[in-house]
Amino acid sequence: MSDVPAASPFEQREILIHALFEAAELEHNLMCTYLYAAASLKSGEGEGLSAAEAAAVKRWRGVLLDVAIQEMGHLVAVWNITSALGASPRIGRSNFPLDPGYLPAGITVKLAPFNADTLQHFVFLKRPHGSSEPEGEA
Amino acid sequence: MGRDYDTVGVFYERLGQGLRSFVGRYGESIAFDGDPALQLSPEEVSLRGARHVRCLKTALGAFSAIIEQGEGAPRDSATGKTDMLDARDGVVAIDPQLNGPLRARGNLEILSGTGRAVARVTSAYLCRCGGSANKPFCDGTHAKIGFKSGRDLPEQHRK
Repeated sequence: MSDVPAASPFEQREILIHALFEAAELEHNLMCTYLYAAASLKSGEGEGLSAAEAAAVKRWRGVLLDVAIQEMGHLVAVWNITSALGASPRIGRSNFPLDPGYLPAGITVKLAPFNADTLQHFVFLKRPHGSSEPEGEA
Repeated sequence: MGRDYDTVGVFYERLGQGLRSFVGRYGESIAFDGDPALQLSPEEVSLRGARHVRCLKTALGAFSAIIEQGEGAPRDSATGKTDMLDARDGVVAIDPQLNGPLRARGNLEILSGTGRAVARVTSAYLCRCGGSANKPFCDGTHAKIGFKSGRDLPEQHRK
């Protein structure tokens, strides 16, 4: 695609900015999926967990919230780049569930309570390029 | 952007390439014409992404920070020796080497961002300069790039 020097559509500011808007929505939506999974966890012994389970669940929630906060950091980075290019940052996103075809076929972003399949889905989303990590079943 | 991508990391890599070619064509002063005061700064938000973007280098740095932080990192550490250790847990000693890596000793299980075991060993030199091509391990790059570990080392490690 980069064989023809003059043809890269990215050489237009408008197209770069639209891609950054897409990135902002993606980060925002991803953040929601981690927050949703964190909020789906039981909150402690008052909700029927044993002390050991409550401690484990608290740890999981901490990890999920850390990832959600990372996504917020990504969103801020995307906003700053957008702003540096002279445009207004995009704040907004499609509501869940996302329309079919809204994202590329390989990228599923949806709200799901925390369980083994959701966890595998998160691992899949964050997999390195070229990894054979499977998608979660949920 | 009207193009498919397999991982979010690929999407960002393309965006970075696009930005590079845009800047290549018009130059930094035309490309980055936004008012810097309109960006979020570390004083305002304590998030890693809140860094000022003023040039191609800082913009590409922001993209790689996102990619490296797991939205489909471009590469992953190769799996090394992962036979189970004789014991798990226990004390881990971490000794910073002057102007070099961290030497870790103990029952070490080194995992990738996706939780895959990269190595199970009892001693490892871990990259501290950020330049290793074999992260998380040291490959000697610190010497080539003149990495200085600063003045925070305990006296006994200064040689």
